[in-house]
Amino acid sequence: MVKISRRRDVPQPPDAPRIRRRVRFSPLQALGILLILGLPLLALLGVFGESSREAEAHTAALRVHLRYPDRFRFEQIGELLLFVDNTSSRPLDSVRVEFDSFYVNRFSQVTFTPAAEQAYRVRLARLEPGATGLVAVELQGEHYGRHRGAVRVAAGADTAALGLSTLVFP
Amino acid sequence: MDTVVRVVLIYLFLLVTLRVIGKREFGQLAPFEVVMLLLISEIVQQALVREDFSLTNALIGTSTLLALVLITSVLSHLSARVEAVTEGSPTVLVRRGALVEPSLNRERVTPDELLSALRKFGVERLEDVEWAILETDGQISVVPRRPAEKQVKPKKPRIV
Repeated sequence: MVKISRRRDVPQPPDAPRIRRRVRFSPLQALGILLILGLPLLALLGVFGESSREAEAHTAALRVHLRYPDRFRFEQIGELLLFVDNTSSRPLDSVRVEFDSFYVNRFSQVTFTPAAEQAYRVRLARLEPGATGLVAVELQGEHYGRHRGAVRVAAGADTAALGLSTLVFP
Repeated sequence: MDTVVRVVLIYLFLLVTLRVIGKREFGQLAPFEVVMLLLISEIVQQALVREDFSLTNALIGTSTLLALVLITSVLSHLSARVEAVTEGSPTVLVRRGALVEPSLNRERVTPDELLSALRKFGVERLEDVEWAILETDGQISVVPRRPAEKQVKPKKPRIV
């Protein structure tokens, strides 16, 4: 005959002995814990996040404003935007924008808008006085590390150059 | 930053839901429960990493998860109350040979499952059990009754 207890006050297992509960870590464990806690904290502070930088240059006829990815992660896409203003009083028929190949070659799936006419060289359509031309470049992180280069904008004899520096996290 | 927030949310969600559904569900990984675990990881994986398959993201996600596990374990160790919330408490299923029906029903343990667990401990009959306890990890521990407790006279060993 099986005994069945249907009492609501169910029995409790024997209590475990009590100790003074404290946390102890070995020096090696403490080091590992610092690493484990440090990474999420740094991530929360934005250390490993995407960020962009801006730079500007002026010449007699041009104002060039550049926004480019300062850092982003492997296989993610960063966007570079270059605004070219005609600050002169006459139209600019030909504005050439050229990116360093050793900078662009560090990325994959690179797309230029407007399309590049030669390797990493874009020509903007006629810019009227006060008008702004835009070059947009999409870059996918292909190689880890910091990649440096420059972008040059030329309208006739007027040239401006801006540095580029992008960190791709592994 | 996104990854840290997503891992924290998923961790808290799983902590609460796994506590709510009870100890038994993942205590003994029957084939169906293994499949359930795989499905959960498959569903959660997309939400955790989104399109970012970089090593940096993987390290951040893993360290966030480990940090949460560590924080939970430290808090559970320091406070019995936190321990009871995060890990639950053992449930008595059999006491001195008697089935504790409310516990069996609350933990959804059938008599068949219980007897199967007893047999794994080499116990044949329910009346030979002093304690059968569903532990916080979902396993059933069995403490057989000692002969004195059963008031059984020791038998003479048979020599064949």
